[in-house]
Parts: sequence; C-alpha cells; structure tokens
Amino acid sequence: MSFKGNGSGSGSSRRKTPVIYVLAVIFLTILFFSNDFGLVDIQKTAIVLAVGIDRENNEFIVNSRIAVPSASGDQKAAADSIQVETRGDTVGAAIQEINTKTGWYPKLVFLNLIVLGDTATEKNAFETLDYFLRNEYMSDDCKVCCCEGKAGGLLDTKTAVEKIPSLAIGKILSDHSATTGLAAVTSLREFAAGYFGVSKSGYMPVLKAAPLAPDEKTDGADSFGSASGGESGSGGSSGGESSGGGSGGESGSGGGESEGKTFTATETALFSNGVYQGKLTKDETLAFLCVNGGVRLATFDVDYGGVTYTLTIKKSNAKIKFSVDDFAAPRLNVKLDIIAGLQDISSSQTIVEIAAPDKTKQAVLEEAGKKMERLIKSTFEKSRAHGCDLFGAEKRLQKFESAYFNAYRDNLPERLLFYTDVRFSPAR
Amino acid sequence: MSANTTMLPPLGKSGGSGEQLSGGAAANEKSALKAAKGGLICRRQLCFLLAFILPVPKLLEAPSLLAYFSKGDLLLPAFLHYVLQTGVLIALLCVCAKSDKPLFQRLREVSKPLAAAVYIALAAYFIFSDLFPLLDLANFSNTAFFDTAPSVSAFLPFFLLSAFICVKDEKAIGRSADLCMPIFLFAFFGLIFMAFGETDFTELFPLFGTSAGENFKGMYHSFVHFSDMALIIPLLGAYRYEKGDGKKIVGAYTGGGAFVLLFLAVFYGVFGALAPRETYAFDKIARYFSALDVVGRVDLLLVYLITVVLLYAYALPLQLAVICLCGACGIGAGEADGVGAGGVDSGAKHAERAKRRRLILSLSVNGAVLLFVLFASRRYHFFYSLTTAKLFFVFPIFSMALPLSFLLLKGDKKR
Repeated sequence: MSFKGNGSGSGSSRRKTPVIYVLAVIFLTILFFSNDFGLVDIQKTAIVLAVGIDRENNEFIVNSRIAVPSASGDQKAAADSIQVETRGDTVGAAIQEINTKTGWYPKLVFLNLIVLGDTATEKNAFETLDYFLRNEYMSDDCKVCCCEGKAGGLLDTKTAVEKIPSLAIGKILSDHSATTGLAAVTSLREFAAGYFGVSKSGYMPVLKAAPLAPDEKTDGADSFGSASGGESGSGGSSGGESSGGGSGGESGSGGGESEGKTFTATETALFSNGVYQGKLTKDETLAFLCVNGGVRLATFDVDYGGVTYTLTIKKSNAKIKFSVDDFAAPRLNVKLDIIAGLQDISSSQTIVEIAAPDKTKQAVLEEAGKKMERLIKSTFEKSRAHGCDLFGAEKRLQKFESAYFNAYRDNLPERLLFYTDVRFSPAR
Repeated sequence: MSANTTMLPPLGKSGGSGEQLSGGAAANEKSALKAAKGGLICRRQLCFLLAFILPVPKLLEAPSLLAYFSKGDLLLPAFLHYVLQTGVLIALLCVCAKSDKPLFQRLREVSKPLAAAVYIALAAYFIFSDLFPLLDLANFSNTAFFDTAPSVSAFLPFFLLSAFICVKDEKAIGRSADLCMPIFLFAFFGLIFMAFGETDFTELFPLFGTSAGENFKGMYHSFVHFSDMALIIPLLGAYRYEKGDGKKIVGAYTGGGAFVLLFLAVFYGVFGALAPRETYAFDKIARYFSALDVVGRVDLLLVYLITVVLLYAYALPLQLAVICLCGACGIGAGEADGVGAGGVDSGAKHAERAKRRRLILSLSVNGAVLLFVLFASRRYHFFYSLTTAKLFFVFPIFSMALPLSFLLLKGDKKR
C-alpha cells in the first residue's frame, strides 16, 4: 500500500491517511470493547447458574438457580442466589418465562449444571435436553445429572458447603471427582454424543442430598461432626426426607440455624434411547470409571482374612478390545492394570509390618483383583440387562468390525462374550 | 520483496497506486522499471496466500456441512476438492509457464472484448461467491462475540475495512498474505493444540463407512467453500511465471489443504456424532481444553486472531471483484498508457482518475453487499439452499471450467 505521489493532493492524502487509520482503529476498538453496549447489564439479566427440570403431564417445570450479584462489598451478599420456577410446553418456553416473571433476560452463558428429576428421565431425556444443545449462547460442556424425586426441590437444598447449592453440586461433579472415582461425571456434550451415536446409550450421576450428620444420635467418636451436626438434629429429621418437595430450605425454618445438607453422586444412572433404565452402585461406578477413563487416588476396600484393607488406587490403565472371533462371535475383552498401595487396614500392625517394603500383601492384591473383576462383570451384566452400551461395544463394532455391523447391530448385547482380566500391582 | 523477483505488471496494472509518477521522465522510467521488476505480487506472497489465507474460510462452516453429509468420511470430499483444485492450479501454472507475459495480457492480445467479458464475469462471480459466506460470517460474529443478539449494525464495520481493502491493488493482497502468515500459524496450531486432548481420531472410523452417494452430496454442497482457483486467476494475471515456481506454488496450496484436512480430522475427533450441529467449528474445537476452567476462555484470543485472517479472506473476493471491474473499465491500462506516453501531468491525471474510479467501484460493491447482508440475513436458508444446492454448478464452472479454458491460450516461449 504505497502512498507515494508528486502533487500536493497526494501529499495531503498522505498526511490524512494515518489520521483516518487512527480514527478507524479507535472506532473499531470502541466497538470491540463496547461489551455489547450494556446488553449484559446484570441488573437486567438473569445469570442462570443451574437448572432443575421436572415434568408434569405435558408441561416442563424449570427451576432456575439465578445468581443475584450485589453491588455492596459484603461478601455474603455478593454470593447470593434465588430460585425461580417457571413452566412451559417446552423447556425453551419455560426459560423465557423467567423474563416474564422477573423482568430479567435469562442468560445461559454461565449455566454449568442441569439436573433432571425422575419425571424428566422416565421419558426421553432429550425431549428436555435438546433445548440446551440448540442454544448457541451456552457451552455444551455443562454437567448433567439426575435425581430421585424432584429436581427443583434438590436444587433448592440448603447446603453446608456453599451458600449457592449449585456450586456445592458443582464440586461433587467436578472432573476431580471423576478422576478419584467418586462420580461418573458427564457433560451435556458427552451424554448427547452417546445418545446420537450408534449405541444410543449414556450415563449420568445420580445426585442425592443427605444431612451433614447422618444420624441425630451422634457418636462420641465423631465429636467434631457432632458439634455442628448435633445442633442440627431438629432440622435433620425433616431434612432427612431428602429430595422431597419441601427440600432442605424447609428444614431451616424448624431448627433455626441447622444445618444444611451435603450432596453425593456416587451412583450412576444408565440410559438407553434417552430413557432411564437402572443404576450402578457406588462400587460398580468405581469399577466402570476404572475401565472407562482411568482413576487416580481412589480408595478401594478389600476384605481378606477377616480384615478390611483400604487400598489407594494410584493409577489404573484399561485396555478394551473388541473383536469378532473365528466362530463369528463378538468378544469384548477388558484388561485392567491397577497400581495400588495400602492406605489402611482395620486392625493394628507392628512398626515392622508398617515399614516393610512388601507391606501390601500379594494375596490382598489378588483378592482386590478378583473383587474388581466381579464388579466389572456385574457392571457389564447390568448394562446388558438394561440395554445400555456402557462399554461402547456397539461403537467398536461399527468402527473396527464394520463388516459385521449390519448383522449384529440389533442384538449385539445378547451375543456379546465378555471377558475381563484385572491385575493389581503394588505401589510403594 | 526479493530483488530477483519474477513479477511483471499485469494487464495495464503497473503502479496502481501511482508509484511510478513520482518524478520526471527519468524517475518515471525508473519507477516503471521498478514496478516491472517488483511486480504486484511475488511468489512468496502468492504461496502464503494459498497456504495461510485460503484455508481459513474452510474452517468455519464447511466442517459441519461436510459432517452432515459424509459423517466420519468428511475428509474424503474435502480431499477430492483439493485434488481437483490442485489439478486446476497445475493446469493454470502450465499456461503461465508457456509465456513471459501475464495471463490477462495474453488474453487481451487474443481479444479485448473477450478479456473484458472474462473480467466482468469474474467480478460478478466473486461478488456472488462471497454473499453466502458473508452471511455466515455475520452470524458467526453475532453469535461468538456477543452474548445476546446484538444490533444489526454490529457487523457493519466489516464493510469499512472491506471498502478500504478494495481500494488497494494486488500489491496489498501480497502484503496482507505476509501479515496473515504468522497470525494464522500461531492461532491455528494453538487451537489444534488445545483441542488435541479431547480428540478421538477413532471417530473417523470406519474409513469409507459412508455411502458414495452421501459423499458426493457432501462434495457438491461444499463447492461454495472449496472453489479456490477462481480467486487465483486474477492473481496469476498479475504474475509472471518463472521456472521452478510451479512446485512451490502447488506445494503451498497442498500445504493449505493439509491444514484443512488436519482441522477436519480434529474437529470430527472432538465432536463425533455431534459434528453436524457444530457450526463455527474453529470457535468451538478448543472449548474443552482443561486449563480453560482455571484461566478462562483464552482460546477466544486465538479465535479472534483467526477471525482477523478470516475477515481478510472474506474481503478478498470483493477486492478481486473491484480489481476485475477496474480491469474491465481499462483503468489499469489507462494508467500505464499515461505513464508511458503522456508524461508526468497526464500520468498524474490518469492515476487520480483511476483512484477515484477504484474508490467509486469499491464503495458501490461494498455498499451493495452491505445492503444484501442487512436484508438477506432473514432469508438465510433460502441463500443456503441456493448456493449449496440449486446454483452449486456456478462454482465448478468458475473454479474449474474457466481456468481450464485458459489452456487454449497459445504460448510464446520456445522450449
């Protein structure tokens, strides 16, 4: 872009051009940093952090947990939130209803959690979830989970961990929880990829709320827990009803400062064609996570010789191989190598035993391997029984043995031969 | 630009911005010689354009479109597009290699009306080919850079930039290619790196799992995104071929194709079955990088950088349309004649007139396209079906048939 010239006209244009450039840059910079000229005004925007969705007849009931930022410097006020219940024939209509009810435009950019109630999962969950997939203004990386009972009630639970319940749930459903084998965390994208894939299967954690102190009668051993939880006894009884319509919020009225609950998501719901089919137990969830993504720093209890050994799984490495053998039988082989160390045992040991290099007995590791094998098999059988392709056999059939795909796709789970081999190696 | 550059001015396009008018006859001659030696676009810049600018528009809408039809085989139609376009590029380079004269000068020597007709047809095609991608770009910027629906004016500054670019000649294209090279490389590999952890390349299996019919559909629906060779015609018109250039230019184009294929593989590896709904692909692939939870959406910085290249890539057809219209009006030729025959005053007048005409053409073209984007965005689906299905044949005509017809030009080099 040359600005050479010989006349006065060229000279003046040469002088003007940088000015025009600078003005254009300033103008474009203003546009760029305009923040959409205030459309993201928090006074007019409902910043939705989480939604709980239930169904009633043909209606969707959407409970939105909305952050209410405060201009004051008060930390507590700054972290407040409210829950708004809206209804509609579709989830989209129900969410727009927030605007009608509150005057706030619902903004889903910060939506990190979708909780489905049992009424939403007993029908195709994608009748509920596809709204969020279609929405270009939110990330499909938000976490998805389900609960027994009403999602709206669960989302309104008063928690001991965070003032905003969805933030407490977010901690339970963090990637760290998945790595440590506590919850089979899944995002909307992963769940949708399973549903729209060949197997039409998926899973998500089952969220539960429980009182902080499990029992009103506190044990002497748990004196710290009882100090805070014991006081909450009065509220604990009502809170113990878990996810009833009243929710934890109600317990506060009875007991005054009670309490709060905590959330767990150790069980895993299985879905086929978007419909809830059954669930895995806590141990089966751990076994599934070991196979599916690998876990680190998870704990695993083994009974051997009347003593309970708690092992720390330092690392797990799974190899899943799908093949069709010479007799045209589809086979799924799961090989799992786990490096584990002894964390604790239920009986006392001498200092020599504690300090011994081979403190994790080989027999205990073998027993752990057998237990894990049983858990993996039971996980597989459960998924087979519920028509949920949890280990991705159908996907592997399509990818790696596509010649058999059309022949086996309809009844692969019944035909599939499942083998598993688990080896525990000691870690120092 | 290197001293031993191979460029010659194109058909009457020497010193489009008045470079040769800076002195008396001697200076004039010197300037003309410089323009002749320096040319308007050099080989390196042409290679950068092919490798780093032309692939970018294919990273926005084409991946989801290809995934919609071809699913895991989305690389196949893209690869076939590149094979076809590379074949056409080789043919064009062979035509260039037959003579020392630029392409359009040879065409004009055959027939001036024919050359003007080709110019006008190309200009019309460039404007047409850019309409639907600009609708996509407007939708993309409104969606990716704004949380809620912005006002219609949010995208309009693009046309300020485009109008400015369109006033410039081929030399500006070359310089923009130089600028875009580092931006593209940094942003592209940054996004690929961030997406790599979430990529499962086995999603591409089974290879050839989609029927040939679906792949063919994917191919013809995506001609709008892969018709590169029409853009190369005016640039080769401003370029004199020298021995050995062909390999480098073809290499650059295949390098650009490799970038696109890598991106498509990563894209499908990240999204799998969800890929058909993942429009604005380069905005989304890095979204799941685990560190973003801690540091925030830093991937958007890379998306902004790629968008800078994209803005230029989408302004390029409009710029070429203006260049072709100038060529058809004989603006460039008038300039050149003025320099050679009329002396300084006459040359300056010609240059001023040429600049004014170019400005008018730039404002007219960009104004028309601006109005189109303003009013046609409501009828997006109509234009989608128009460009991807009903009028898809326009793209192969201009990106394949027209360039191949240049093979009919006689060469004047003796071997």
